[in-house]
Amino acid sequence: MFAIFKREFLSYFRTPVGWVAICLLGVISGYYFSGMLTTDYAYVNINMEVAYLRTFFIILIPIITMRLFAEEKKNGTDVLLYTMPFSMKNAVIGKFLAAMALQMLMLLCLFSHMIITVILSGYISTATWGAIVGYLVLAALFISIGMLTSAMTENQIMSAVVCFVVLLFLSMLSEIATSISEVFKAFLKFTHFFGMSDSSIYSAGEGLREAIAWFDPYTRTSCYTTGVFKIVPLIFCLSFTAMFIYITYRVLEKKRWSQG
Amino acid sequence: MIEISNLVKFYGDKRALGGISFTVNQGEILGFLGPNGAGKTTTMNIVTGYLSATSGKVTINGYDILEQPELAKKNVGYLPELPPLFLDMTVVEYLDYICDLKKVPKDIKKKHISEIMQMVHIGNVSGRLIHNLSKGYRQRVGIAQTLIGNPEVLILDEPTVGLDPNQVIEIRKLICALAKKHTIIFSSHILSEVQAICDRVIIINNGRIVADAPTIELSARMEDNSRYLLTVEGSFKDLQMPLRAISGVGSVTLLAEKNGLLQLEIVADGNLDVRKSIFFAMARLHAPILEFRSKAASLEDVFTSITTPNK
Repeated sequence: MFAIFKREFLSYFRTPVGWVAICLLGVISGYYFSGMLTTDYAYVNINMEVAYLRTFFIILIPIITMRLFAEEKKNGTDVLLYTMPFSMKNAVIGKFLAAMALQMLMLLCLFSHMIITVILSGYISTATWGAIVGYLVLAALFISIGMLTSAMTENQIMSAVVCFVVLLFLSMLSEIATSISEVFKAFLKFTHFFGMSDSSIYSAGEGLREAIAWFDPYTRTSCYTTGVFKIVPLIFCLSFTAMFIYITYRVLEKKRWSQG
Repeated sequence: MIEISNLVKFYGDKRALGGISFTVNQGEILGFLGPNGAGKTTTMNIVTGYLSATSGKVTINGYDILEQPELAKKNVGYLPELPPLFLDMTVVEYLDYICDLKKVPKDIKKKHISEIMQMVHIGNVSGRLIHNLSKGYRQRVGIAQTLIGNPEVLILDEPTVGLDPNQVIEIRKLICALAKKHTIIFSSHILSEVQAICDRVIIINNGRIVADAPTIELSARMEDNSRYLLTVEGSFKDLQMPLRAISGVGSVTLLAEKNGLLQLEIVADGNLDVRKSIFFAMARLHAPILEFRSKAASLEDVFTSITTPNK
């Protein structure tokens, strides 16, 4: 597993991918941080910066995950993963950890902002560390999704596009849930379904909205950026991460049985 | 040692392998032949664990590839048709990575890599990016990859494809040298190469073994002692009748005529040895014989004859 991790992590820097991702996050976070510093009150809130950076996952995650398996399949090097004396599970976890390590490295710019804040007599609250933990578990979830899309195709662009669409869908899940619940309420009202009263229809619609929005990882982990540390979002993200990693493993194993 | 028993593989409804069984003994070089789509690569992929069989069993040095994959794979070095190379790595980095994958102990890693590089003559390009290497060198790096961890079994899928004649000869020599310490399954479309390298040949067609014999025996099986090739000086008009008049000669066919030289195919009736009679007949006619041999079939003939349906 460590061999795969090492090769994958270093390969980010043998190609422009790692450098581009780090620079991109550096520019975005630098822009936000300098914006906070140059306000009249120079009010710096790293939690807000972390929350702002989360919105760029939909661009950054597809970039760093698209090549994980797609490139290996395209170049024929996936043979090594199947024919070497180790389990495919190790390969999947090794690649996942490499992408996570890059994601952590990308946070260096955030840490530099924290250091600057302290140097300028600013204050870094404990909640900031909670926000960073929230950021990382959300990154882990999205990386596992990106890794799965990469395992399903040998075209890196296709992998990135599918990952982007899935992450975009997840980022809009609350809005989508609201829209679906409104349509559902209108439908119940229009059809006089079982003669339901207005309040029952409202409750049913809200229930549906909440059920869909339950899966929204952004809303679930937003508590971390407001200084509230909950265990449930952590379990939510990590369990879904584990699920997607396992599905990736199964997708790759399936290839043994069905390759044409 | 590789034992394959009753290997069946289906891709959807299409049967790629229909119950293949064979054993490759220690130190043997097995040539694996067959037309495109015959099931060669599928067999190799199953033996290396890249694919799973629909049914059947593969054991390598006694380890089942499905039940004890890690132990079985430790004994195998596989070079697919397209060598699995990371073009963004240098040769040393790549071999070091393969050492890590094959769990070569750290203390002997450097020495092991250097020995293998020396063996396949890639020491002079060790620090170069694989991307910048020629096809021949890339193929050697691919072979070096198979040797990492000293596996007993080497499976080489068309290792000389796309190489120039000098590189082919070098790789061929290398494989022969490796055969001293390894069991090798070698697939190639160049039949003369298989003939030159392999102890034994298996020919598969439509997912079934159609021939399995030592290389020499397979060629001898097709050797036809009743056919002769004769190159002689003279004119066909003058020689045709006297040759036909020899007792035991069935037919005389002109294959080529150039600068007064005739190339003839003579077919004898039954098992009669007509060579002496032909020699004396030509001597009487003052027609010098420049070449005279029985027509032995090459592996190419065997291959064509076995894998072509109407033959």
